[in-house]
Amino acid sequence: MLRPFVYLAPHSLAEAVEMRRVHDNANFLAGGTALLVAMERGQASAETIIDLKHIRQLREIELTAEGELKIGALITLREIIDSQLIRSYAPVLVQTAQLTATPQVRNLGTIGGNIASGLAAADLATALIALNAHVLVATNSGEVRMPLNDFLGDTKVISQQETRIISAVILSGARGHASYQKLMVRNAADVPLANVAIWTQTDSGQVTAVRIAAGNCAGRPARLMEAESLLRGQIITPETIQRTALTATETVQQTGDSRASEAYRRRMVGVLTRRALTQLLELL
Amino acid sequence: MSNHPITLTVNKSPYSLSVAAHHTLLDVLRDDLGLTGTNEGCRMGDCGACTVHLNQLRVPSCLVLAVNADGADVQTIEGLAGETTGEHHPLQEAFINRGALQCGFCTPGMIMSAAAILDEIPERPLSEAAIREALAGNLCRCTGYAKIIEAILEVANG
Repeated sequence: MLRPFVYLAPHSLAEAVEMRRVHDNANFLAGGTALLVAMERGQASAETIIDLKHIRQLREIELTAEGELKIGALITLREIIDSQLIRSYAPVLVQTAQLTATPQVRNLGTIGGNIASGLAAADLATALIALNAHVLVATNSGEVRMPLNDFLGDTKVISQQETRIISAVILSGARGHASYQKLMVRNAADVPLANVAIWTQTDSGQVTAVRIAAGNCAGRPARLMEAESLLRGQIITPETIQRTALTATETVQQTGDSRASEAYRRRMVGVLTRRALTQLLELL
Repeated sequence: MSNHPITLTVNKSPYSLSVAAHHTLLDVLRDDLGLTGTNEGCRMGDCGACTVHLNQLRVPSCLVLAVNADGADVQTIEGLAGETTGEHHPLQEAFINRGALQCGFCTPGMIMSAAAILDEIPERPLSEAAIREALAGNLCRCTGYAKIIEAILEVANG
């Protein structure tokens, strides 16, 4: 049984931000698949739950006039899988969503919740870092747009005390090719033991731009800059794949826990980097 | 703490209820409506025993706050059998005929998932691999899944 709490259901982001300001120890509810589990386990407590479901703007997927893809924070994993717009703009997000949780949980869990859950190897968040996604965030002092990478690591741009509600995820820029690789104990329905997402842009086989992201880096998904530098300007071949994977293993910072050790995760980041680049080589 | 008035349509019957904010859809189905076919397993969305259809989508009812489901259309295992005749759903018949259950605890959630899978995957013949993947959110500790998958294959492909 969950412990009792006060339930609020605002109809606008401004109302939600204000509710958070006046209620201490409040949590925002999106799909509930992370928050309610954490509360059931006693890992999270809340005297007040602010349910975002009635805020309609959080449920839209749109291609903006600027050619950006804007995905509302309450878009579910299932809706990502079913969206032709997302499939054509960023197919790796569809593949990532298909590898996340169970079919039942995918009908509830949301893209905003996947980021806000704070899971160290959150599937979508890792892929979104490789895609250089931005987030729109509602705060006490208005709406802020920032790279997801900054949002996950940042304590300066927005202070931790300030209310933050992710309202949308935004994809823009060159589309390139991307691959998401995930290691699980089971074949499905499991959180990643390790995960890697790679986005590349190539010109005549030469890598002109690359982003490599891995989960479990000090509690969050993060970029592997050294491995990226090594690959930039190269042609993807079995040899450059091997060297990039080795650099990923040597430079990645991983956190060990009861599910996998730090050393094992580092090795697996290398393996997953190799698999991702091998898949990209086939796509190019 | 706080109580909230909600309306639900459960197995085509309308209900007006007052629910505590911290009660899940699973709690309300079992304790307020007496629909105990939906089983409580892990309460963490992992096991699938509490699977119901919420607005035609299968969900773990342990991860849905009842107040959040206000206005929803819910179908449980009790609503899957023929509404007027009371006859079993073909999946229920196939599970019985194939012996696709042992202790039976996972069975209501398994059948609700199977019913959803028949709609989610339109391709026929439905493959065993597709069923296995689509059943990833329903755990069974007795059967080894073989007969469950046979039963679903039988209903899907005839």
